[in-house]
Amino acid sequence: MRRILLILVGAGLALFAAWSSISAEISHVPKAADILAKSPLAVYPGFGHNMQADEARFDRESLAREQLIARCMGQQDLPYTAVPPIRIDEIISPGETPKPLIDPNAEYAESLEPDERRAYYLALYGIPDPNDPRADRLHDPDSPTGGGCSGEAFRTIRGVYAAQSDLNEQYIAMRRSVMQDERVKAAEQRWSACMQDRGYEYASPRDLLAALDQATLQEAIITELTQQHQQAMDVADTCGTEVELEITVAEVRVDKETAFVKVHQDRLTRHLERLRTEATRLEQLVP
Amino acid sequence: MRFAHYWIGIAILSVMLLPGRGARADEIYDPYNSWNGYKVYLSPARHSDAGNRGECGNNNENNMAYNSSWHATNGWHYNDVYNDTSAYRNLRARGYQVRIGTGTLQSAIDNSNAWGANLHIPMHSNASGNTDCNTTNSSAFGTVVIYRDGNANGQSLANQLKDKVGYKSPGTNDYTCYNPNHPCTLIDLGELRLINATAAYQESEFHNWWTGVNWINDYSWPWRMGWAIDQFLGYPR
Repeated sequence: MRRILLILVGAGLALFAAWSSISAEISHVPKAADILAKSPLAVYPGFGHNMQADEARFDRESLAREQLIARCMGQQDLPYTAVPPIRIDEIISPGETPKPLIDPNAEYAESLEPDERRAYYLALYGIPDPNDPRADRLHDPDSPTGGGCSGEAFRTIRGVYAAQSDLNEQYIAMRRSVMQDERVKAAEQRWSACMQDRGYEYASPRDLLAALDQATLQEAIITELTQQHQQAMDVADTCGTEVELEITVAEVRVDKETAFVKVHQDRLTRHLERLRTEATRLEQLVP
Repeated sequence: MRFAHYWIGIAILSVMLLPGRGARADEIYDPYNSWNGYKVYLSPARHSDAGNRGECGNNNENNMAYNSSWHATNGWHYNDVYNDTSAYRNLRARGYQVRIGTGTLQSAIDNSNAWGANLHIPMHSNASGNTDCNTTNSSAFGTVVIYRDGNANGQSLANQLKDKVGYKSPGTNDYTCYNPNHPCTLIDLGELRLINATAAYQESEFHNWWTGVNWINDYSWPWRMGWAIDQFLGYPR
């Protein structure tokens, strides 16, 4: 009996050791999200690495700007309703229709006589007509002065996305260059071979994602095609895991983002410093 | 009574935050599932003379542009037919975060830049000298997309929008043009020059012929903007 007990305990210990080693191995498999979190660009807010925190800060900034505008207009005895953007995250049910536009400040301005309206808009935007499509009749947001109460508010709080906005073209180019990298192309070839083994002919995940859209050119979207496409999407995930495509993309993206940070280091450092300064102002305006 | 002002405040805030009721500012729509990392600002027309710009019937360019933007963001069509389960039916389903401008043109520029929009698309409909809404001369109309002269990304986005939207718009004279100094418009457009995002200014169709107006108001086509944007950005997911 004692011998049986010892055997059982021994077997249990061996199983535990084996499980521990497997789980240790599993926990060491890198995940794309973990790799991306180590990107040097993740240090700089506004570049998509922490959307939730960035958006939360952006909402506070929007409210603070609106309060600054309302205060500035109030100092000139002009009314202004603070209306920060509305955030909608629910899926809107079929059949619902958009409601007509109502901007309370534009509505108020339009109710004024032409001279009063002109004066109102000059105070608010520094220009007589903020709906004039001509570039030279509008306020340039990059200008260090002007723009009325609104221009002043946007200069006071440039915000969490200021650097991303200034570097937008370069940022998009960098993101697109990830897919042109030889390492990603090689991983996509492995993915494509994996897909072929399972009966699907796609050169890259982008080709798969684009396949339904392309089929609309022949107006050939039928239920069978949609089902086939969904099956291919499921297999694509399996193949992606098998050839570590997502991990390769994440690694390449970190490399590209490292180079991006190096090139734009000064701009990004100033962004970080400015955000710290603006945080104090934000705390005062939107505690 | 002591807390009455709190309840009044909450009531006012609630009305302000309900979409489509009371005061409204820009609308930010989150993607249905994972965000693909890109932000699109749709900027509908806000002409002070909308309704008197040659629109057939009682139509209004500003409202048509807003409704088209809304359906590109939230619509239920794919391949130009109703399909409320398609993963390709609108920009949100494709993983984009979308902001629709509802203020002035100046505020659209300020907000698009401050929000860090990656793409900025002013949404309009076109007008010509034609005064006969019943005309059927399709070669006189079509989709026109304008980009900032010298901006290769803007040109590429404009081409995608022209190809995908123009393919279905009833007018057959679809084209892109640069700005400023191309005769397609004499205006140096602020929404192309003062915007940080890659921008393309879309005239979806002409609103001074019934065939065009009816097509714009049909909403079976705005899903095509998602297709164009996906093509431009390489189907990010």
